Amino acid sequence: MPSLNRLTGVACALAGLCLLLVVIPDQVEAIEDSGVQPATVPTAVAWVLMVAGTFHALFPTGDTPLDVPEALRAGLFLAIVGGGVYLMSEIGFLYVAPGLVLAIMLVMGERRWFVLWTAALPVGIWAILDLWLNRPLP
Amino acid sequence: MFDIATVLAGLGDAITPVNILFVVLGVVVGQFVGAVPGIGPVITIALAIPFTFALSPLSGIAFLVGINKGGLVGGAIPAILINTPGTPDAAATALDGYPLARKGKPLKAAKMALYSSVTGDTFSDIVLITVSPPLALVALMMGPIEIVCLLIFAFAVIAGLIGKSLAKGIVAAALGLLCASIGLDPEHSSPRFIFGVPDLFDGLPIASVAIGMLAAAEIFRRLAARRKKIAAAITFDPDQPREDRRVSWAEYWGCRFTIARGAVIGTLLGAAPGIGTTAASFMSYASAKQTSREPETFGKGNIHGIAATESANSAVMGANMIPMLTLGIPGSVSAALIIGALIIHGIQPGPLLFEQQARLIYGLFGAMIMANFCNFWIGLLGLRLWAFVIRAPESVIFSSAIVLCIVGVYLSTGTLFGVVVMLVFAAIGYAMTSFGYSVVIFIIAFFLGNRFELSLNQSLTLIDGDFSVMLDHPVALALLALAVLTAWWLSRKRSSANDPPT
Repeated sequence: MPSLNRLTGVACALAGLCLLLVVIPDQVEAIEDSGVQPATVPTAVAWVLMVAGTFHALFPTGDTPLDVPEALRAGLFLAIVGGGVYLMSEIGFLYVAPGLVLAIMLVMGERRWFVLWTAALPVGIWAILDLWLNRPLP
Repeated sequence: MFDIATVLAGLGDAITPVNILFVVLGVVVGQFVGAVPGIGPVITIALAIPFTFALSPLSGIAFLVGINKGGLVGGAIPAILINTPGTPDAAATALDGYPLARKGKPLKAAKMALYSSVTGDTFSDIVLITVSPPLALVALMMGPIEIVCLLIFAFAVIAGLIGKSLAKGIVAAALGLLCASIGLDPEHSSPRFIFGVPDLFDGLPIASVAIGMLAAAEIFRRLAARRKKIAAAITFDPDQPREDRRVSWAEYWGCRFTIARGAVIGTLLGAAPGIGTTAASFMSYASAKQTSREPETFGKGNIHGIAATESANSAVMGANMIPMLTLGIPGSVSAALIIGALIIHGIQPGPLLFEQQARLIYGLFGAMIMANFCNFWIGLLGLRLWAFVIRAPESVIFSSAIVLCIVGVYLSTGTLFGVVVMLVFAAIGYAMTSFGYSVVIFIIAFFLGNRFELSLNQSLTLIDGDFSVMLDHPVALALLALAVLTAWWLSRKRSSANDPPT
């Protein structure tokens, strides 16, 4: 079974191929009468990804310090923050950010009530930026 | 040439109580915002400019310069203490600063950063004060061809940071260049990789990518770490020996060549507009590692690594003022904002500035030196405060830090789209680190990518297929030769390091 390290090389090579065959033709315009095309650098990058990825897949070096349970927990925190940012766009920073801080602390395992007062910090940030400096937050 | 009376009058203007007060205020604000990920000195200068309208030109500009200088010192503090750089240029400081802090020596790491930052900054200020006109002429000779060759040289030096896997380093650099190419192409303004998202026309916001990959990714890693109980973000023994809490003169003196090399790299790159502090700090770090007798200790808490990065990124600050004051060309975003403030105050930067406003300029130089002095003392006091703050539980530090990242990126980009990009790049940064791909190489390529592509396009247009034109560009040829020599030397070092001992 190929190692994860080797598979990352395969993924890079496939990404380069996909970039060259699908993404660049679809997303980059060709300009007539121009020596240097807008696609020049992306195309070079795609080739580099393919060559370096293939090389790495064949002769893998370095390590992959992936910790799957930790990555899943990081994904959970990312989802919490992402949800918070979405709610900020709908409801506003002042109402969402304290809840976001509280949610992060609770998921981390924090249960000390005097520490949970940190949730008031976003209110202070909002007061300084929005009220005092007139820089509106979402 | 000015008479000594003008110089002394200008320097005298700088040390009035009011001007000293605004320099101190600027440095305090700068160090604070520099330490908050995502906010940084650039946004703060933009916010502070309207407040300077009511001040005299010298007080106003001294305040802004204080913020800028303070921000460079402040940015290193969270990089060292919690591995989340307050500003992108402090990312290199985290490479050795954080491991040293983890060894229980956060104050030693932070003090080394402070001392080398002030030393590098003072060096570049002295260069600015004494030889800015001739250096500005050299900077003016840096056309597109020279810039391309300078960037190739920078890439060759930074290649020393690639580490164990050459292929992974090359992939990381390619991904950085690819992300830099998103948005309007610099030559034809033709959209690339927009995918129907209008916000991408201006490209990926630098603040979002940098804060996402360097700060937010690390915060998510620390949030997700398994723990039995929630402890302080960093712990150190209050009864630890004094030598673990301070930088001795012998240690500082032992870093003199590293600091000097960093200051020279920062000054030279700072004098050329658009290269920036991040490239300078990584280039200085790479050269310190390559010339060290113990390169294997870099990345594990070597104080030379901290000294190299901090002296270089701070030296860029003074050098950025060289093209700004002498030619009216801003060397960085913060320099562009300071130009705006000068113009608002009725001062036109450019070749005539030293003739028409000599007293004001020498006043500004005096304020810059004073700001370095304040940076040092306020930095020493501030470190005690940060060392106290960092004893707060991780839950407080990291939940607050993520909100500050959101606020900082929102202020910097003006939209929540920028915050979404930050989260996307936090995920990419986390994945890259988990699979062993260098985030540092990615960020350098991303920062320099647009500049490289623009200069490459301009150079190819200038050359127009006739490479003999290069003979008219001796600086470019010298830089290319240096790049080739560096690459050859690096490959020799790499192959000798891989040779089994006999």
